[in-house]
Amino acid sequence: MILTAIIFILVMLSIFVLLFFMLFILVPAIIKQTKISEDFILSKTEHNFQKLRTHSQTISPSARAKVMCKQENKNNTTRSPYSCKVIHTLYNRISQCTFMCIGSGDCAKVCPQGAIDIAHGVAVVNNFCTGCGKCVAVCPVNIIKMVDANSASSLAPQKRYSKLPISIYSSLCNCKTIPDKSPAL
Amino acid sequence: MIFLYYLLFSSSVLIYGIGFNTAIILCDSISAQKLQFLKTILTLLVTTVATSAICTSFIVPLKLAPLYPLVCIVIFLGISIFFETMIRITTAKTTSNFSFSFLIILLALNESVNLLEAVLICLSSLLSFILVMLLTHIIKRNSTYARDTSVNFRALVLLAMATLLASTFFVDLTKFAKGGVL
Repeated sequence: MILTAIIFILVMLSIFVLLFFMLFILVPAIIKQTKISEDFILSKTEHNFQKLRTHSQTISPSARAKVMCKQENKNNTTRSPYSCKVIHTLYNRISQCTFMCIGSGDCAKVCPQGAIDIAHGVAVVNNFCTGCGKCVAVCPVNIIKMVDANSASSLAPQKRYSKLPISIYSSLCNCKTIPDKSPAL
Repeated sequence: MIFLYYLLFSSSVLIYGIGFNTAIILCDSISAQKLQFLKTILTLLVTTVATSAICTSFIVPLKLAPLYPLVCIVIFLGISIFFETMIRITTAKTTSNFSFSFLIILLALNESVNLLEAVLICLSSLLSFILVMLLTHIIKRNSTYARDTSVNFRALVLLAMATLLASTFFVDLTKFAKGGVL
């Protein structure tokens, strides 16, 4: 019995030491190397749960952002040291498509909810979006629009967003969802 | 039988509500969650086996059974962080998930009598979660196509889940079990 207890304590101690090494040495090193500062244990759902409850009541619960680009970014600018704004200023566009998402993640960085992921070099808005609109302001290509949260797939803006320009399909791009021809572009 | 029971009739999502909110949030991008499912399967299996081994070897002989959630969480954290580290280094993607995996492991350890049962319960619970995700995805897609903003998506999902749950109660499970014992 005593021997079993001693072995049990040793096993638990070794697990605790391993956990300590992981939490205080390995995890900070990985965060520094990959530059992904998201929680290693909790998912976004769990991490943002409290924030989601408070923000969704105060900001704009019926609006959410939508990225109007679905084409895969083969240039892979996700790991680029430059921001979207810098790339857009230097090269204007990263492919033949003028409206293609640059994918450097300026919108993801400013999003207070962590609601924007960069998948295959293109920004994707997930369900954490509370419609604060901060991402719309930082996108240099103007491909993020605010749409009604209840009909997020609709390209046409709802009545309450009548100030926004109407999105149209363009023949210039192979993408199926193309943003409007704004004067800035 | 255990697999079918925990997959449909006593689904972890429908009966216990484990991962219901996650299923609603992640239903938009099921194909993007492949890596997360792989990591969850590995974490569930390794944690269940390790915790079960420690429980049978040390905790039960020492009569410390109430301490098993503590052992489980310590092992789970270690394994989860290890797999997360590997995934982040190799693919630069995040797959962290705590409550769903941990609660399924606790459920499996609570309701099983041996290691094989625990593993089966883990896998069937994960599969039932994927099924609910698919169902939620279909409801969301259809409600979006309908473009009827007056219908609340979450209310629709709840109604669908309630209907599914009620429909499973009408099935006589004894027909599936030989000798009438589940």
